[in-house]
Amino acid sequence: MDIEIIIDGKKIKADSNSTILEVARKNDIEIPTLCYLKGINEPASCRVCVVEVEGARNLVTACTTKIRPDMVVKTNTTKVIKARKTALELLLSNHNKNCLNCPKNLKCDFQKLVEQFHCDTEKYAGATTENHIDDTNHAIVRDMSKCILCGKCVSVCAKLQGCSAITKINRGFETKVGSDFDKCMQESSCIGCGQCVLVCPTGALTQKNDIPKVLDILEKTDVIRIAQVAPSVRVAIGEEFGGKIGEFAEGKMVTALKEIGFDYVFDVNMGADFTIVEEAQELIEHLKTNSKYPLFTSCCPGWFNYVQKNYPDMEKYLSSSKSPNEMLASIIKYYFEEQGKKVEIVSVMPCTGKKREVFAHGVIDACITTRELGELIRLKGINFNKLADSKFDDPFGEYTGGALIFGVTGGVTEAALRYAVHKLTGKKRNIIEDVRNSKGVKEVEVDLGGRTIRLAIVHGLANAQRVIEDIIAGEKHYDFVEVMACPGGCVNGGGQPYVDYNKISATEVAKKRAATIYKADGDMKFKEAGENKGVAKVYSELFKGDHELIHKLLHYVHVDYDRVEESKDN
Amino acid sequence: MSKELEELKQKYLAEVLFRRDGDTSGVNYKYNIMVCGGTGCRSCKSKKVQEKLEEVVKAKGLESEIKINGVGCFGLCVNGPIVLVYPQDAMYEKVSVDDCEEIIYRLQEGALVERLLHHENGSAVEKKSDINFCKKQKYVARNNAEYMSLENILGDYVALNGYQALNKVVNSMTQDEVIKVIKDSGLRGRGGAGFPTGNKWEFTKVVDAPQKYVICNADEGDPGAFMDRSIIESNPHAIIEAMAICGYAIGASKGYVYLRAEYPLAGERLQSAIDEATNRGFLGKNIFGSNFSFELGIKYGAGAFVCGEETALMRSIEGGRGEPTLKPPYPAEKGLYGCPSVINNVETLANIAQIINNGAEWFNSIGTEDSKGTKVFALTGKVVNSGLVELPMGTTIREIVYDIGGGIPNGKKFKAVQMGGPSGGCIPEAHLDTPIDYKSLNDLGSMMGSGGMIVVDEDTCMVDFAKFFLQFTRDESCGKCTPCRVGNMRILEILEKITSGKATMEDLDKLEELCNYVKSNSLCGLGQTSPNPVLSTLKYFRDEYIEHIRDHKCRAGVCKSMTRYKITDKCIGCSACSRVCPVGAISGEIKKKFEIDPEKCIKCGKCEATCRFGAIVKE
Repeated sequence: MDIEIIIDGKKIKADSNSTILEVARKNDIEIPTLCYLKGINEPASCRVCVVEVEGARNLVTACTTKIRPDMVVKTNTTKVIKARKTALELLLSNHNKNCLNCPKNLKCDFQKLVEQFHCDTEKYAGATTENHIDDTNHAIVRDMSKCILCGKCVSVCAKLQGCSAITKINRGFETKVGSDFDKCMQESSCIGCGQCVLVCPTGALTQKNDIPKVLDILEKTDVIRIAQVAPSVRVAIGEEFGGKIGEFAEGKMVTALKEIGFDYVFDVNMGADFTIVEEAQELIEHLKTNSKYPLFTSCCPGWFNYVQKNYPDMEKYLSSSKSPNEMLASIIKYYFEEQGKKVEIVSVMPCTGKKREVFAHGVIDACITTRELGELIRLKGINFNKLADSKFDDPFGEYTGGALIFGVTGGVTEAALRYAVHKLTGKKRNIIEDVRNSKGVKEVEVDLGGRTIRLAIVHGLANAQRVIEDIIAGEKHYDFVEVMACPGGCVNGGGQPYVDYNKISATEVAKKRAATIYKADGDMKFKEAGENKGVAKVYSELFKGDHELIHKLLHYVHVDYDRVEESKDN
Repeated sequence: MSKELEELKQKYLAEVLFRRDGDTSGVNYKYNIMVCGGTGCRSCKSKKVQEKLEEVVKAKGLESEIKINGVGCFGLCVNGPIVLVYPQDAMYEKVSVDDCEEIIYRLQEGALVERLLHHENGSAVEKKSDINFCKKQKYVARNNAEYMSLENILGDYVALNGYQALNKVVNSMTQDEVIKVIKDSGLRGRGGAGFPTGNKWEFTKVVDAPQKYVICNADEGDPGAFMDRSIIESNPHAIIEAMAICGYAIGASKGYVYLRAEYPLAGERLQSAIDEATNRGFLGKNIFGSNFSFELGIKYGAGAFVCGEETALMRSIEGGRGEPTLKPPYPAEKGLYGCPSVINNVETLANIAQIINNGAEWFNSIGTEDSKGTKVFALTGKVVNSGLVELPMGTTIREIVYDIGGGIPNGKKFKAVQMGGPSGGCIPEAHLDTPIDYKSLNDLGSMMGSGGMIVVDEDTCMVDFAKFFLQFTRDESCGKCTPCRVGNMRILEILEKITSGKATMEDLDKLEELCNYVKSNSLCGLGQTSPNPVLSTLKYFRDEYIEHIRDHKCRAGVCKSMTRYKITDKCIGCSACSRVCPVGAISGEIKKKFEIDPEKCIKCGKCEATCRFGAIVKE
C-alpha cells in the first residue's frame, strides 16, 4: 500500500513497507551509509545515515526506520550533518589514516564520506586499538587498522557463504573482527572467496597483491611469458575503465595483455572445454556406480576448500578433474616443455580464491584478479578504451559457448549436459534453459540417453551447506551437483571490479554480467566442448591417447589449500 | 487450596512462624539460631559459623532445645556474617567461628553477647527490630527472605503462602484477569527503564503465536548492585512462581532465567528449586490440575554487562554474540527465537505472587502516585550501613543515607549519591530531600536503574568518579555502534586529560558536546545513558571540573598529578618515610626535618601512611 510522506519538503508516495533510506534513494535523495547492505547487513550501527523525523526524540537511522503516513523527514539539516560528521570523525579517530599507502585509496567509501563532510581527522585523536596485518592467506589481506566495524564482511561470510570465518570478537573499544580463536587467516575457516573484499567500505580487506610478481615475470627474458584469462574477466574488465556493468571487452583485454608484454595470451575457456570432456566422462562413470552420493563439481576453489574444511568425508565425491585454470596451465607447460621451452604462466581470474588454488597446485606462477588486471593496465600506461581488438593466441585460444558459460551459475552443468547428451545420444541440445537462473538451489531432472538424472545447481556456500547436509542425511538424492561459492557464479567473484552496492545490488550485477555471457554464447557457432577442434587436436596429437599422461595432467590427486607456508604474522 | 499445598503448609508453618514472629506455640524447641546464607556472608565463612554452632549444640546435647538454620540474606551485608537468635530477636554481626561457644553459652543463660550486637552511637541494640537499618524498611520483593530455611526452601515458601497465587491464577482466573491485576497494581519494571509490567504482558498476550517465552533477566551487571542475586539466593521460588504466572497470562509454555555465571550460589539454589518445583508438579505439565503447562530453564551469561539489555540478552540465549538489536520490533512482537517474549527483571517478578495474593489495591497503596510499591536499593560507598534496603517508593534520599544508612563514617561530609549504576547520575546534597521515584530521579538527570546507590563523601573527586563509570562503559560496550564504542573511549580520554591537568576549557566544551552526541545517537540503552555520570557531574559539580582545568586543583586530593606531598614542621627526622619511598624522593639528616623532591615524587602516598607523627600532608 502506498502512503505519502514528506522528505526535505517534497511530498513522496511510497510503499508503506519501505524504510526512509529506500524511499530516499528511489527519489534521488542522497543519504550516506557505511554499514548498510540491503537484506544482508542492516545493523544500524555506523550511525552515518541518521535523519531528523518530526516528533522523534532523537535522530533516527534512515536504513532501518520504516516510513509512516505523513511522516516528515529532513535529511540534510545542520543537526543531521553535524551528527554524521561526528560519527565519521569518531570512526576516523580509530582508523589508520595513511590513505596514500592504502590499496583502496580513492576507491574507498569511507574516504569519500570523510571528504564530503569535511571531517577533521584529528578532532577526536586518541588511543587506537592494537592492530596487525594478516597476509597469511593467499587470497585476502586483512588490515584491521582500517576496519570501521561496519560488520558487512561478517554478515556476508556468515549469511551468504555459511563460513563464519570471521566474526566480531572482544568487546567495548577493543572490539574487532577476527577469526575463531583469533587464528591467522590461513588457519581459519576462510576459503578465500573474497566476497568480504567486495563489500568492505575501507581498505581493511583487500586481495593479496600479486602485481609485483607479474612485473618480475614480465622482466624475464629466458622464459616464455604466458597470460591465461578466465571466462568472467572479459565481461567485467571494461568496468575498470568506466565501461557499463557487464560490457563485453574480450578483444581489448587480449590486446592489453599483449601490450603489457605477454608472449602469448591463452584462454582458460579452452581449459573449460577440457574440463567438460573429463568431467562428463567422470559423470558417466559415476552414474554406473548408482552411488548414494552425487558427483560434485570441483572447479570452484572456494567450494573445494569448503568441502575439505567442513566435510572431509565428502571430498572423495568431488570431481577429480582439475579446474579449467589448472588444466590449461598443465597442458601449456607440457606443450612447451616437450619443445624444450621454459614458460611462466600468469592467470587472470575473477576470483581471489584462485590465488589459493594456484598456490596449492604449484603449476601457475602468479594469479591476479580482474581488479589487479585493471591496475596493471593503468600501471603500464595503456589506454584501454582506445585499444583495438585482438584474438587469443593459438594453440590454446579456441573455445566453445559451453566454456564461456562456466562463468555463470549453472554454466558447468549446462556445458556438461551439452557434451554428455551429444556423446550419449548423438543429438545436439545447445540451450538447456532449465539449469539457468538458479535462485540459490535449483533442482533439475534431465533425460540423459534414456536415464533420468537428478541435478542440483547451487551458488552461495550457505546454500551449498544446506544441500550437502540434506544429502548426508539422506533426505535428498542427486547424481550431479554443481556448486559455485560466489552468489551468481564467477561473474560475481571476489576478484571482480568494485561496484557501488548503494546503487545496484550484487544480484543485479551478476545478472548483467551473466546476460552478456549468455548473449556471447548464443552468438557462437560452436557451443559444445566436443566441437572444439583445438581440444580434439591436443588429445590426439599432444597426448596421443596416452591415458596415463592425460590423467596425470588433467586430474589432481591431493591438493592442500590450507598448507601454511610461512607465518609472517600471528 | 490444593491439597498438596495445604499439607505442605501445615507441615512447616509452625517453624516458620517461630522464626518470623517469635511464636513458640507450635514448636517443641526453645531457640532458633539463623545464620545468613547469602553470598556476602558465605564469603565471610558463615557456613563455617553455622557448622560450628551445630557442633557446639551437639556437643552440649542441646539439639532438642536449639535449632540452627541457614537462611536468606538479612541485607546488612557490610557486617556479615550475621546470626539471628530467636525468640530474643537479637542480631549478631561479624560473627566468627570463635564466637560460637560464647553465643550458645550465653543463650543457655538467657543472656546475649553484647559485643556482637549491632551498635548505634556507641551502644548496643538488643533487638533487631529496633535497629534503625531495619526499622524503616518495608519488605515486598525481599519478603520472608530471612525466615525461610535454606535447608527446606520449598516447604517454608509454601508455608508462607507460596504457590497459592499460581494455583489461584491457573484455576480461577482468565489471562486477562491476571493482566488486569498486574496493570492495576501499577507495578513498573525494576530493571532500569521502569516500563509498566502489566502493559508488557498485555502486549505479548495479544500477539497470536504458537510459541512464546517468559524470560527473567538476572544478568545483574551494575557495579555495586546485588539485590537480584540476593532475591534468587534467598527466595528462588518467588521467581519461579512469578514466571509461571506470567507464562499463564501471556500464553507461554517455556521460560528462561538468564543468570550471570558469576552468581554460582544463586544458580545452584535456583536450579535445585526448579527441580523441586518440577518434582512437586508446580512446574511442568498440567500445573495444579489445570491445562496450563510451563517449564523453566537457566541460561548462564558469560559476563558481558550489555547482556542485561533485553535484545542482547535474547541474542545471547540463542547462542549469538550479545549485541543489542534495534527496537522495534520489541520483544513482545519478536523476541527470543523470533517469538513473542516477556522479559522481566528479578525484582519485578518478586512482587508478582504477592500482588495476586493481596490484590492490586494493596500494592497500589504503597509508594507514590507515579511509582507504586517498594524498591530495593544496594546502598554502598561512604555510608555506615552498607547493604540491601527495601523501602516504599517516595522515601527521600536523605532518609536512606542518614536514617537507614547511618550517615557518613569518620565524620566526613556528604558530597553526592550516585544512583542507577553506569547509566545513572550523581545527585548532590541540595537534592537530598527528593522523594525517590522514577520521575523525580529522571528529572535530576539520574535514573532508578536497578537501584544501585553509591554514597560519596568529600574525599571523592567527582571527575575521577565519572571516569570510573566511563572506564566501565568503554570496556562493556558491545562495540557495535560507533557513538558508544568510540565515543565513550574519547569521553574517557578527555576526562583523563582533565584529571591529569592537561585539559583546556575548550576540552570541557568538547566533552559536553560529545556526551550529548553519544546520548542521542547510540543504538541501545547502554550507549544512550553511558554519558549520564559525566553529564550529571558536569551539571552539579562543574566547579570541580573547572578547578581541575584552570587551577590544576583536585579538592578531594585524588588526582595524583595535582597532588603534592609536603613534610611539615612536625617532622622529627626519623627517616621512616625516606626508607619506604620507592623512588628515593625523600632525603634529610636524622633528627632534622626531611624534604620531598617534587620532581622525583610519584605521589604514591606511602610516606604519608608510614609517618607516625602526621608530619606528611597532601596539598
